[in-house]
Amino acid sequence: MRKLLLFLFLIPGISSAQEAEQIIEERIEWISQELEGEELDLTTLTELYQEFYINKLNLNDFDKDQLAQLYLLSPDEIRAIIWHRINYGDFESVYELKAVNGLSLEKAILIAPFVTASPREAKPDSWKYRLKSAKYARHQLILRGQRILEPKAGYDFLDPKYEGDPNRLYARYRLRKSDLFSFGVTAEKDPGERFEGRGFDFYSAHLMLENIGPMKRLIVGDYQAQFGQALTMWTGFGFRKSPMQVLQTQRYARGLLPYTSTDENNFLRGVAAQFEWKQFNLHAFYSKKRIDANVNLSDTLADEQVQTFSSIQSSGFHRNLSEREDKDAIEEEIVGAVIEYKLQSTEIGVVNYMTRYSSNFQRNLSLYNQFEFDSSFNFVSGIYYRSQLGSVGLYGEASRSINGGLAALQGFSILFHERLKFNAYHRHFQPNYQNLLSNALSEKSRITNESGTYFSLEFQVLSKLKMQGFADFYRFPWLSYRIDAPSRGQEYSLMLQYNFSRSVQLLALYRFEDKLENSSSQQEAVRTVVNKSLQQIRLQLDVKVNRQWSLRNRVAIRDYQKEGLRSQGFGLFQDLYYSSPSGRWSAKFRYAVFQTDSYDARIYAYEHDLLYQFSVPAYDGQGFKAYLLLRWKPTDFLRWEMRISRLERRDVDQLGSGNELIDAPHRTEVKSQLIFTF
Amino acid sequence: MGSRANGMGGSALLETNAWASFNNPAALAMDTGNQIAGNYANSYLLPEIGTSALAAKFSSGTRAFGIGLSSFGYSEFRSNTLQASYAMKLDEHFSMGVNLGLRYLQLGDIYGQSFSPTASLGMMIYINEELSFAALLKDPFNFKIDEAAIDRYPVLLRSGLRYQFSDDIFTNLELEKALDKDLRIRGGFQYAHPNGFSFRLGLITQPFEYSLGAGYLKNRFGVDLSYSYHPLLGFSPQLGFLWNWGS
Repeated sequence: MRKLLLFLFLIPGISSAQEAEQIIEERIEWISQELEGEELDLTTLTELYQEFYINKLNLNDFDKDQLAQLYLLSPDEIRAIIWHRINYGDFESVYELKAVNGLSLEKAILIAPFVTASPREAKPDSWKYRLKSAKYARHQLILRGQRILEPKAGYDFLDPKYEGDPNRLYARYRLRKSDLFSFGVTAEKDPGERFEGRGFDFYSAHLMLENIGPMKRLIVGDYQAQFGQALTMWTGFGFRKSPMQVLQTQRYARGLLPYTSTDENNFLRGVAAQFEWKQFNLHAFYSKKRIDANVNLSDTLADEQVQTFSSIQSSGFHRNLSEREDKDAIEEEIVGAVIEYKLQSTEIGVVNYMTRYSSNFQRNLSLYNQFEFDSSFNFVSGIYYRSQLGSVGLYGEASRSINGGLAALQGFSILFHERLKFNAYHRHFQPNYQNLLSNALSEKSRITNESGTYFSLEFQVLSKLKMQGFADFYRFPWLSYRIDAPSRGQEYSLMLQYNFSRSVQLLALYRFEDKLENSSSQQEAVRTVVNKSLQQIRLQLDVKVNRQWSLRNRVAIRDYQKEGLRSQGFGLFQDLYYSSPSGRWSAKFRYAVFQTDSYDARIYAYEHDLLYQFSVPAYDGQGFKAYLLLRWKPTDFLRWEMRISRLERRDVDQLGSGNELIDAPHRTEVKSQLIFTF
Repeated sequence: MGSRANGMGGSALLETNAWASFNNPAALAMDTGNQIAGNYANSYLLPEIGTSALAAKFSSGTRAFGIGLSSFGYSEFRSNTLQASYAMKLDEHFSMGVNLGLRYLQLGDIYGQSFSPTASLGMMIYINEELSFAALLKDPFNFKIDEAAIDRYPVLLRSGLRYQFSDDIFTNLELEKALDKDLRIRGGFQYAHPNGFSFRLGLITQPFEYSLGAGYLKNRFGVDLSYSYHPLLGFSPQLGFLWNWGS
């Protein structure tokens, strides 16, 4: 009864007082707070939440893959919802989620904003109906500007190294009607790039049509492709190991998706289509685009020059002649097809794709990377499956590149008890497996030369106490970057979450990693590998005071050891959030003080940012970081956001290096964004 | 600041007395009534380095106002601070407060004198009947000691919890990070007997110190006595009094 009352109390509160963006931001923060990176590209995930927030999934008529793609529920929890519907009939209300055996109240609250309970109804599949419903399409226009106020060396007035101004400008328009069509244009100029005369440095556009007879999806323009368990092909965001999402080793591919992010290289450009016939799905795609690369010209015996490239540039910066020379330097052509066969609880698929570059890839090969892709052509084939057998879930994928390199992964999950979930995942990637579009879960970012087994556990110890953790044991059978020998490592994580009440939560996290790396000693003729270890502790207290005020306090400690040398890092963070009673405006404030002995002991912390921007920056050295994020929504169609942040270091006189050097120990950044939705 | 907090290892964030003007302005609004308090703190039994301070708080309903004056040093080195605080309850269990002040620093006869601002922002919440939390951000703008000086007053961030075992007993745990110093952890404990006597104990890290204190509160008048002990520098005693009215 108490559970029901809580649920009844919470759900109306969420939907009326808070905005969709706030709910979505909370979900994404939960997922991404343990990721590390200055700028994370989670645009696709944010858009997915937005879409489900507006066009909620019907609990009585949903595709289980769609619910899984939210990354909020495990397969067992989705199965529990379906089982409830089969046994007790259609859901009459979202509140009925609390009665689902195997779904915790916490998880029910997490998904509640994205689901509804309506009678099943067949949607008319006529053009007349489609044209009629198209007028309800949603337009969204985003205009964003940001700038670091302190001058950098590259913008020196007398000797500028960058051609443009330090502003980052971004514009995006999207027109979307769920299940019908999507059209979008994105444009971006990075700091230092010239705007005058050239306009934005990067443009991206797409047109997607959906549900045209047997053709489920047709995309012309820029798109992403995600299939199977991400071993053979997966562009865009893919989950890494995370203490917050220990069970998320199984992937739920979304197939072909329109591309709306600003990564200037990691997407496909051309035509793609998905056809559905009974239990079969066929995805076919063709992409041809120019990408940034470091090009070299070599003479041949025939007195001709041959173009090769030594690396693919992923920064997207084109701020001066040298960087512009690399822009669009080579042509990349990708063509492929995927056939999937889906049954009630099993899915199997075959994926094949070919990549061709206009020049030969000629890396600066060393001993460690001698097996990596180093030609102009690759062909990768893979087969994947996923199956749910009672309380056991099985999934896997095997893949082969044209040079004979093999890779495989296999995982399973078991629901021992509704309060105890277990997951195991094994991967084996041969050193000569070559695939630049693989995004499987692994220790290294590149999917090659790795074997390992990952175990994870989620245990609801008490109604208020949850424990989750993972252990990952891995080895690199061949040499790796900065490891001049075959090596091995291990990583453990344990998180305890205690809910004092619905508004007060305490989280304690411990993470340990132990691996090998080259010795730092310069005196050895042959580099030896030595042990390095990293320990992290985090304590976090979240208090929701009332509907307007919330606060978060966090303590983070990091301990790094290598060759008997030890460095430690410490950070103390205080966050304060406010949302006006009308929900029209809100503010988020952080003040953090940190001290680390070295860069190895740096502290990472999630920072709140403008909508569609995410960052988990590193805090290193001695100093403080503060930011204020303001949001104002004067009308339903206009939203304004502004963020001011200041980093100040006490242990250095300058920040950055080279053209990015700031001749002051502080950095102040201002960003603002306007979002029109109608 | 205050002999009562000194007896608990300086864990003062959740103290709602007049010294909250120095320790955490948000705490001023968490207790109704008015109070005036005085304190003398001697450092390491050296007569030259003592601090005399006066503080007062005036609260009504959900708002409170506090003032504080402190003077440290002797004729060749003196640091005085005058500050005013304003606090407001934003919820039955939650308050925020701000403090603004002016520091006066005098270095002997020939090195001159300087004025610099001081500011702090605090918050406090009663999470439930047993647990309370508070945080303080002091001098967030990294003020310089003097316009021409390189040295700055360090940013200080403190946060702390109090667990109330019963009406008589509670314990504090606080983390304190000043920008230019290592993390300090402060722990405090108090037992208050119904007859008005209180006994206090405190521990501090970096460097390790301990403190002991006792207090007596009768009707509207109270007196607190405490000392802290540094392993190298020795004892630092404090004596304070307070007078309540209007509560």
